[in-house]
Amino acid sequence: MKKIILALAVASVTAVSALSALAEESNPAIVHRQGIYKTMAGHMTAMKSILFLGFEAPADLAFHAQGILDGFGHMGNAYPPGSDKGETKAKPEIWTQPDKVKQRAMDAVGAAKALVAATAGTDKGATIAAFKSMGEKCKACHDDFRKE
Amino acid sequence: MNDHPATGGLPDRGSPVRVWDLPTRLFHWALVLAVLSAFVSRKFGDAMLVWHMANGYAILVLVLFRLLWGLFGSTTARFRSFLTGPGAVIDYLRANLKGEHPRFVGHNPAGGWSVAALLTILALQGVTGLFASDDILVKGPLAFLVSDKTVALASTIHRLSFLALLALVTLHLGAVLFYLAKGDNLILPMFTGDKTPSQLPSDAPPVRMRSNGRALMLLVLALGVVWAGISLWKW
Ligand code: HEC
Ligand code: HEM
Repeated sequence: MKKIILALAVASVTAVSALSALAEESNPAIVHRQGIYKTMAGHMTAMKSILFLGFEAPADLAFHAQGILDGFGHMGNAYPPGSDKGETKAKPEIWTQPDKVKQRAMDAVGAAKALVAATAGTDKGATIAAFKSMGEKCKACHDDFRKE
Repeated sequence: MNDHPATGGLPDRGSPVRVWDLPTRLFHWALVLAVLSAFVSRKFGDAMLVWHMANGYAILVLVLFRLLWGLFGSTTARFRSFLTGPGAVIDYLRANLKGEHPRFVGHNPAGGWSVAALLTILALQGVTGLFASDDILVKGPLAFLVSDKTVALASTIHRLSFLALLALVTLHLGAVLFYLAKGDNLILPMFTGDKTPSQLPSDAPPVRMRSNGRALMLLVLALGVVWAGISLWKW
């Protein structure tokens, strides 16, 4: 009886550790940053529907712009060492060219602030311009640091 | 006295021969412009990619037209006239290695396959573009039909196949320059349509030209198919 219990215990410990090893395949840092990126992309899509596709909610533009800016504010430590392992499209250069990454991130944050400022007004043209420039800054970083 | 060094001493006499019909030439240069502009508009243009997508559609129409023209067009435009077996390609490349200068009315065996490869890559590029997304603010018009995974895959193929396209274009330009270095200018005929007798084989078969009207009809057909392929899904 004792032997069976022991065997079961050993088996379950092995199973649990095997399972948690599996779970580590999806590195929490990766899951988090991808979640934030997706949130920001969601705000971009919603803004696009208002600015270009005719969805009538001009008052929501400011909310989405703020959401993007907040997203950058809550990226946290998005690329800690070791978070190159797992289901990620981050290029290795992220860890070898931190200054350039920072530059791209600061450019994007700058564009997000400009977008927040533009949506505070009622000039749709200015908002569209700020929106496009936001998209260009996202893209610039993807061109450099995101795998094809 | 008429000796032409580049033609291995063949006298360059006789009047030029029409080898490329107008539709093929227009297709060629329109494609060059559209591909250049698809690249430039993605890299430096508007973030919404409006122009890039318009270019992409134009390229799809052009490629489809060229496929039709490859079946129903003038002799030199037809796939049957320039897609040869591997033996002919190897013979051709060998002859070049030996310093010979084999001449052809239309495409040489290697050039013919490079045309096929270019058209294939462009079709792939255009079709994957329809399903691609930049994950930021642009989606291809058919991306909504497929899963996120498929969109990601199409986008990846779209980005990578452009590199394949660049490689093929480089090869293409390299071959043309190689000919130019040998004194055989293949670029001019793609503008004027004519080759000089010295650029042609002595036993050149006649080129059977098809009318521009037929080409126009096929172009309209291609336009309709691409338009339908993109818009019918929304209903
Ligand atoms: C500092 C560089 C940088 C900036 C700025 C940036 N991104 Fe990204 N983005 C990345 C990298 C790197 C990845 C790949 C992350 C991964 O797979 O681990 C990524 C991934 C994504 C993804 C895919 C997430 C997933 O689930 O795989 C989306 C969507 C996205 N970004 C949207 C945006 C949007 C929208 C913006 C602008 C508001 C933006 N990004 C700005 C670097 C950046
Ligand atoms: C057939 C001709 C086409 C060519 C040569 C072409 C070329 C390119 C190139 C060079 C890129 C940039 C890839 C990179 O940044 O590495 C790109 C991106 C893109 N293209 Fe095309 N394209 C074509 C057709 C299309 C079509 C028909 C569509 C959709 C209507 C389309 C939609 C897109 C989208 C959405 C992106 C953004 C993906 C990204 O940001 O990387 N393309 N294309």
